Amino acid sequence: MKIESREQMFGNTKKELIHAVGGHEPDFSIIDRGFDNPNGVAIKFCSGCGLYSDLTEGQAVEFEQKALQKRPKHTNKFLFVVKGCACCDGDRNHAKIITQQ
Amino acid sequence: MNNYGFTGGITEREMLGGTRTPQKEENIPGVKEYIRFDSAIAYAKKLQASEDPSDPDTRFANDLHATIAGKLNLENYADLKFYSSIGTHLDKYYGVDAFFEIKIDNVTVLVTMDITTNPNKGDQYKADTIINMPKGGLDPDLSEDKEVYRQKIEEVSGEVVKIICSKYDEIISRRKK
Repeated sequence: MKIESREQMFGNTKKELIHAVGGHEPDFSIIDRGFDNPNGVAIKFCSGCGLYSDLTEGQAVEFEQKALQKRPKHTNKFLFVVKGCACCDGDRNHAKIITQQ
Repeated sequence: MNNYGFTGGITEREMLGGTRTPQKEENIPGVKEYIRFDSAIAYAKKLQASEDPSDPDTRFANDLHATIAGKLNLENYADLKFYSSIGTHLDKYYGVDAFFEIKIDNVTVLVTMDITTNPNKGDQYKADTIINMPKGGLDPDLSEDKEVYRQKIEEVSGEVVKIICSKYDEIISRRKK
């Protein structure tokens, strides 16, 4: 069989959400590593699946509204924490902001 | 994964110049969250259609895996794992089509790959290694393609082994400091 496409070379991936098992704790040291997204302004952590995402300003404002909280002004040592995200089947309706103690 | 989410090993990968931020994003529908690199790796691992990462389903990946394992003289081929990341965040945001992961002693080394049929794109790629494929593809069962296919496996496996060794050495020397 002729191997032409990327999928034929490497194989497919599934298009599905992973199960949000929950119970993951955020690691604040990730903040010191900077953003992978060049437009990142804040980091979101999903306690459902353990994934971290970089948020743009627009996304951060959306999560502020979900959290009913503003980002702290005195420190950058904070994370948006959710129980479900675009990658898992956890609850996406709630968010909170946790500041490193 | 530990209880702190997908953060393990990020420091070493970042210090070794792991893939970050391609100049041009692939347009993949439904992949909208800019998952961080280590999380994107972990997520891609969970989305494998192939059941056993040490025995890839496709012929190309399987031949590549076996050749690399042979060159590294691995006693256990299961120590070397192959993952496709096509259509995932890793593909969209970091330009990685697939990656190998190998654990040597307590060191985990990752080698990312990107496929192209346009060798002139040059530094637009951010993966550790770029695989240039002929536009018309290759059929390893056809006599006219057989040798080119063999050479391609040889070339890519050699490059991956070189990167594995170089990253391993760098991690070990950093740990000694």
